Amino acid sequence: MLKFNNIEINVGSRRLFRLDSLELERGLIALVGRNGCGKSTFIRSLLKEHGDYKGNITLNGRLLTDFSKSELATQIAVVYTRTELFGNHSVRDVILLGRLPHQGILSRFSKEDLGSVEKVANQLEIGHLLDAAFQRLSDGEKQLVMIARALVQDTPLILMDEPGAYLDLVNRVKLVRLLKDVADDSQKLIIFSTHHIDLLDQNCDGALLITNEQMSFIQADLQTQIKNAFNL
Amino acid sequence: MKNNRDIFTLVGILVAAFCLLGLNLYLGEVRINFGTIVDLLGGGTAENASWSYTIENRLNRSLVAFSGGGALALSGLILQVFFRNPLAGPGVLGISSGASLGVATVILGGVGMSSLLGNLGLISAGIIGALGVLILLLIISRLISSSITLLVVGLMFGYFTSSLINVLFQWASESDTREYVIWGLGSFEGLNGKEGWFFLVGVLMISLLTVFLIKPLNALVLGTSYAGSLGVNLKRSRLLIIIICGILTAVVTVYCGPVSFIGIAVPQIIRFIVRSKNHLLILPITFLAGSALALLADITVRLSGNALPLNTVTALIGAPIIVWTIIRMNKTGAKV
Repeated sequence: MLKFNNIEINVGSRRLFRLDSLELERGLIALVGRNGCGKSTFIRSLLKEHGDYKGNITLNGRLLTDFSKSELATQIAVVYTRTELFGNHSVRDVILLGRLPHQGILSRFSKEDLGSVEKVANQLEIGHLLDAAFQRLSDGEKQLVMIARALVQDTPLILMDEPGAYLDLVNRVKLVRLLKDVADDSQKLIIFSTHHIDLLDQNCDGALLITNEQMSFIQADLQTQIKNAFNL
Repeated sequence: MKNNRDIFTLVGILVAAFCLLGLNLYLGEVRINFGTIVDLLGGGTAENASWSYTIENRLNRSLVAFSGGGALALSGLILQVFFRNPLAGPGVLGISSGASLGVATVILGGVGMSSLLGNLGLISAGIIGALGVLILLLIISRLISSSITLLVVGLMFGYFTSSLINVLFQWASESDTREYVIWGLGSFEGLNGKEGWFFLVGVLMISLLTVFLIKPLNALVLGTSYAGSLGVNLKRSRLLIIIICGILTAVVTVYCGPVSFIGIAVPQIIRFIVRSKNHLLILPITFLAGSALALLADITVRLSGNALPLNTVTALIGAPIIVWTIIRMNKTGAKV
């Protein structure tokens, strides 16, 4: 589904990393590397927010650069580390925003949109929070809501930029397990960046590891391989 | 979520705005009964010929209040969502100060300038001033991420432009200075003939462009990163926001003076009252609520025998609303 060919991601004159050739189909993939190695830039490149790279990225056989912003929104959903909401939205309102790319210029939602919001919320066990105010939720609950929002966006690919950074130990474990379940159930490809490598082996189908300006894809003994790569 | 309560709010505010418009035609030193007013509006004549002038004058300022109040509230709403700050508004961000500087340059720039350029020059100068400040704000907003800091920058623009205006005072004649000071107090009066209708149609036409902002504004509550991932074309939306808010604020400021508080207070109340998070509903309700508040302010001004300036009245109504919002913000610990 997501195919890379001779990628070299740069920031100005500085090269962040290279990726020779890789095709990812589905499953939960971790994105691991040190601070500033280019994890976020990688995610932003996939979202067409960062255009400073060489090589080709294709999504379902089509060049990423050929997608318009609105087309891309039906292909890739995102979850960021933290959400700052402006307004007194309920949880339902926030999740419903995931349906925006599928709506017309007047942004009216259908019964089906509401139905998919309830379905996904129940799947993530936040159905009881639907009418609660988003601003009053804990960081863990907020992140679940944002994942629900990404799921109702109904895209084959979901990117997450350190979704667990602000979560406590228990919530972080829960989050990764949940992502694994979601990836399996929905047959989606989910790529998430993280620094917590102890959780990867039981839950992830592979990891994209950035070391020495090179991105590589590893599929087994993730924790050991990552530790070796960083001489830990 | 869309529900019946929001439709009720929309209809309620629409009715209120039109009742206030009717009231503004009826109330005044000269009492003319409603039947005669309707006759006159329909192009008929009354027993007292001067009444048709009275009604024309009242109608004109009502039309200007209706469109001006709506335009200010609308751009306030858009700016609040865009800058993600409930205290943003055309006045606070220095946009109307920019328009004021443009107007001051023409009025205070000497007799030659205002008569040479006329009304068109005044409007263009106001628009250039307002757009200039908006563009500067946008450039600076890329350098600083905090919206509070940006508001401070907007306030600084306000101070800076008023200092420049003070400098212009040094060279201006006494009558020009007086003209400018009176303009600064704000008023919905002053348009005659068909100008009120032109004003209304112009404001409505620009306001209709906000149709293209419904989806971007809905998404922008989550911030620009999320909005982009939801398919919003940020560059285009930003440009559209500059153009719509800049022109609306400039046109209203040039004709009515720097009218304060309507642009901040109205969107705050409406975003609190309306349950729907779809700007398809929030935008028109905000416009109409701005119209209603402006008409209410104009009625108050006229009942005081034009003794109270418009900006005094809007401040009396608007300032408590803003304080209430700040208190509520602290209570919930959240941006509202």
